[in-house]
Amino acid sequence: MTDETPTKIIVCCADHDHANDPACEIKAESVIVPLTADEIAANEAAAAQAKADADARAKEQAALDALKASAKAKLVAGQPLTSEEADTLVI
Amino acid sequence: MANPTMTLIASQTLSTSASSITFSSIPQTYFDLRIFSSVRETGTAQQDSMFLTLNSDGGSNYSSTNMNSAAGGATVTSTHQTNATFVNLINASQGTGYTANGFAICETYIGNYTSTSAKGIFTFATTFNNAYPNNGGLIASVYRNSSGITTINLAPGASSFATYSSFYLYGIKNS
Repeated sequence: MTDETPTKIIVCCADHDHANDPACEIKAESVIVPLTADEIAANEAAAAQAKADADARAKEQAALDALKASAKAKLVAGQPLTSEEADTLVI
Repeated sequence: MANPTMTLIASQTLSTSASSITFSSIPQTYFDLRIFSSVRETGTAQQDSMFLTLNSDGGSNYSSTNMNSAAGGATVTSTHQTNATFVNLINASQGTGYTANGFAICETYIGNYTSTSAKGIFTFATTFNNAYPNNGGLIASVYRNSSGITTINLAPGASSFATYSSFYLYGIKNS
């Protein structure tokens, strides 16, 4: 198991002398620096939010699939559909 | 007569893994920006996202609608995120759960990036996997900020960007 410090790469896009221009914050065309605690927390929060969004999408899709299956079964059996099941039909 | 140009501002191909990449000090001399990426993660994910933030802004200033596929198109969903703290570029990254040495590819277009009002962003992304048709993502976003974009940050959905992940930033203008 590794315990590496997360790093990020910063690329300076300015067209200048990186080493000597005071405006260049990183003094190079690109540098590798450790993430700050805030950046690590932000990445973790973003990952958690994206996972929650993906889980919600999967849950919505599963619910829709179940409604469609139920609607199909009822149509075949000649039974009345619920309003939600009818909404899944495309006419 | 207009003479459109697309100029490479900066590029980076990773020689070591990294948790994120930042393009800083972006010149304000173009009309639009275009970012191309070819990305793989070090983790075990299959299809995954890439997270886009601008100007180091972690505020709730990003809203997106997206349409994306999973399981090679077996499911297609559309969702939206309002007032999010980043743009979720779905299917713009992938991990070791997909084809060895396969990279997700992504293109993001940022219109009128020097504007002092909201900026529109459009992204197309796709994963790469030999097992079945690839998963795509179309993401339409808006970034609400009154400053021109000077910094772009991209981070993988999990773990780190793997070696050989590549990023290209272009500037576009009409003359």
